[in-house]
Amino acid sequence: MNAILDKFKQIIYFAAQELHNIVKDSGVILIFFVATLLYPALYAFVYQKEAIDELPVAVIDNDNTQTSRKLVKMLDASSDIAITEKINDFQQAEHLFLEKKIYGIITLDNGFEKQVMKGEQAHMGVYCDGSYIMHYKTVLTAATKAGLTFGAGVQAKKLMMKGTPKSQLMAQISPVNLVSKPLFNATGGYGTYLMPPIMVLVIQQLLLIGIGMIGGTHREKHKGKYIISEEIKERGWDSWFLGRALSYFIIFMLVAYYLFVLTFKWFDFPIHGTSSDAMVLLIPMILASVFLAMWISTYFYFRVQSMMLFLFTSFIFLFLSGISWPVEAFPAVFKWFAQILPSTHGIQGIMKIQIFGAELSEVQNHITALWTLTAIFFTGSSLRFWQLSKMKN
Amino acid sequence: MLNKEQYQGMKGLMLREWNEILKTRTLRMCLVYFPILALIFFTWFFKAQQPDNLPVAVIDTDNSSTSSKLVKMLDAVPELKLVRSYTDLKSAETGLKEGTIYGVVAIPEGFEKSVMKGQQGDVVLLYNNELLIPAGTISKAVNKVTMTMGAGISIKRNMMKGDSYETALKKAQPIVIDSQVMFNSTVNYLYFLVSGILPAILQIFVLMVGGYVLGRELRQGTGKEWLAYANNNIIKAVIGKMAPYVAIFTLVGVTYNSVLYDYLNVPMNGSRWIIEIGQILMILAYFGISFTLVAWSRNMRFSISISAIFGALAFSFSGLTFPVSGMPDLAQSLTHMFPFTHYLELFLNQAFYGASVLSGLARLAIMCGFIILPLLSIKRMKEVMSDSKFYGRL
Repeated sequence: MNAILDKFKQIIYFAAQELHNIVKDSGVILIFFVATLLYPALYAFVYQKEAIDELPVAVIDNDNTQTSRKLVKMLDASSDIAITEKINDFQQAEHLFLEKKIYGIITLDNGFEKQVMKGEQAHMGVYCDGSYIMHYKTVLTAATKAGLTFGAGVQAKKLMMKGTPKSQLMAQISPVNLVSKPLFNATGGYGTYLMPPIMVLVIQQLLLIGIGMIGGTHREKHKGKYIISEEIKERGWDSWFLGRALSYFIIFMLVAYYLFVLTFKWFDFPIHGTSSDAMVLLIPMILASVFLAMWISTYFYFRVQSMMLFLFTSFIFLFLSGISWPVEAFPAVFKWFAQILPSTHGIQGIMKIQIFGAELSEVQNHITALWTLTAIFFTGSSLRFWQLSKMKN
Repeated sequence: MLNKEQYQGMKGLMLREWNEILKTRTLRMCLVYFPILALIFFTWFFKAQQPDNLPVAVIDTDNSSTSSKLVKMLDAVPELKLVRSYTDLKSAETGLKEGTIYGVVAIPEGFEKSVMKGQQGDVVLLYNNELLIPAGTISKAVNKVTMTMGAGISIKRNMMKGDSYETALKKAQPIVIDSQVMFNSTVNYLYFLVSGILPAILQIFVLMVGGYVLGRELRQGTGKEWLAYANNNIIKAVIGKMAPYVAIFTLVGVTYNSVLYDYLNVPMNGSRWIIEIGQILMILAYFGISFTLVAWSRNMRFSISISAIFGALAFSFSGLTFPVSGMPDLAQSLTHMFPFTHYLELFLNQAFYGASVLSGLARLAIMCGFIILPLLSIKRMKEVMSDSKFYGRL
């Protein structure tokens, strides 16, 4: 019993020592505290509008009749696009497009009204920018919606003239009615979409870089050797290893609380799940990242090495999490590779809890995976530190 | 002072950096290995170009010939992969939350009856709108199928009333929407994302290398030595030092562009030369930022940390994924701080929009503006490098 108590004391001793070292190192402070405070605030700021509204679009109304103007008005009434330019020729429209004054072009040919009146098919041209997917979708969806509504109006008028009762109009115009319900992020808000994944990724990457910096500094101070001091060996390398892990864990649990509970409240992101569920998922996510980071950190030779080598992986890990490009479209190798990253399960799990409102039981597979990763990285890193502790100074 | 003959002069300075590259594996990783790894990763990752086979549950409670016709039509769409194992909306909702399906199409009982009786038959689509790319793909595909089916029924009804097919079609669809996709006509995500991600990765490595190679003179206390090789001429010293790195990153950038335009066939409607020059200017602009940071912070670690934050933010601020037009005004002006934003604009304008050479040159001129930053710091850099009290800082 006393032995266990003593071990516990040693772990606390080393945890306190590591916390002290962290606070003294301005480089690590910048990563562990400043970056964690800064990133969510910056991203929340950039994405605060959530969606595009009133995207400027030009219209070339060569018909210029009451009917065509009515359609233009309907287009303008859409909250997604705004008709800011009414011009006569296409060249001018292209020019405006290149100057970024407009993001789409809608054309109505001469004879539009006549065709509508005669019951011929009237054409509406929608030119949107395929190189910029968000603009492309916004313009196309808004224009299609307005065009269909307008068409339904035309049909309704004709049917009514024929004496079709009002109650039957919709059934005549669109026999199959699609009731479309977007779930979880109903407005398609970009901040809601990207904030939770980015914050999970921030945790993993800052742990990898920050602990990597501590490891690199250690070697830099000892002429390239990873030296475990006699004092540590006397008190037990395992206590040192666990104590350090404990200190990082404490810091990042606080960071996680700030990121997922406080920031979400301050910036009013819609949360459907409970914050305690989120924290239950984040415990193994942080532990897995801590042990992975400690393991890798023993291979760094100088302070900034981890930053130089790991920064770009944020892009790769974000895409591998499957929140942007759907997993179904992944090449098979990457499906497997994504599974060994804490960020993949952390991002998927947090998204399901916070945004989809999933219960813990519905994200059990991610929690299990994260604990498995924790076990693997714990084993790997403790073996590595055991090996280092056996080396002669 | 240690002064090796061979490092004297411009050639010597370059040789000194070359030896540094041969000596430091991390430098080689940032210069060549990882940029190439990123190239392979992203071109492979987006190989599918457009997402297909997205799992969508179908719950056909109507179980009629009309409803199974609709299911068949949905099945024929390449974007969707129908999952038939869900029997009620409740279990399908769990599937949505667990992420096993992206959407549910439910055909309620009485669908066929309503359609036959000339009433409106409802079809319900629930889809996960958090995952933006699958959400867009699914809702577009299902919408199209139900519209096609609806139009087919309308046409049939009118033909039964004695209309010809032509007339019936006109009645069913009084307005035809001809959508023309300009520039990236197949709406290819590979073209759109990879051509933006690669330069974003490149600028990160440029910042990391820039901070390291300039900052190391302070960290290792070799600032005076470096200046001595250049006869105390800071301009000469900087050019000699940076030339090898500019050359290597230019080669990497040219390789990137070659993969994009020659291998992946990303459209190139403008001047490839302007894009290549723009990329070199982007590399120079970021080296200029590293230079400025090292000169004023006098600390390698701090410079690299700040440029890491700067480099990681460039992607979000460029508007590649979330457009600049949707950002708050302050953020919109901040986007100009990042050379990457300007390069991306240049690239989109030239490659996709086929903008004139003249407008390309104007953009290049804007990018040249970033070079003012290091010019203002040259004097400061010389002072810092010659002062040994800034040496060896962690």
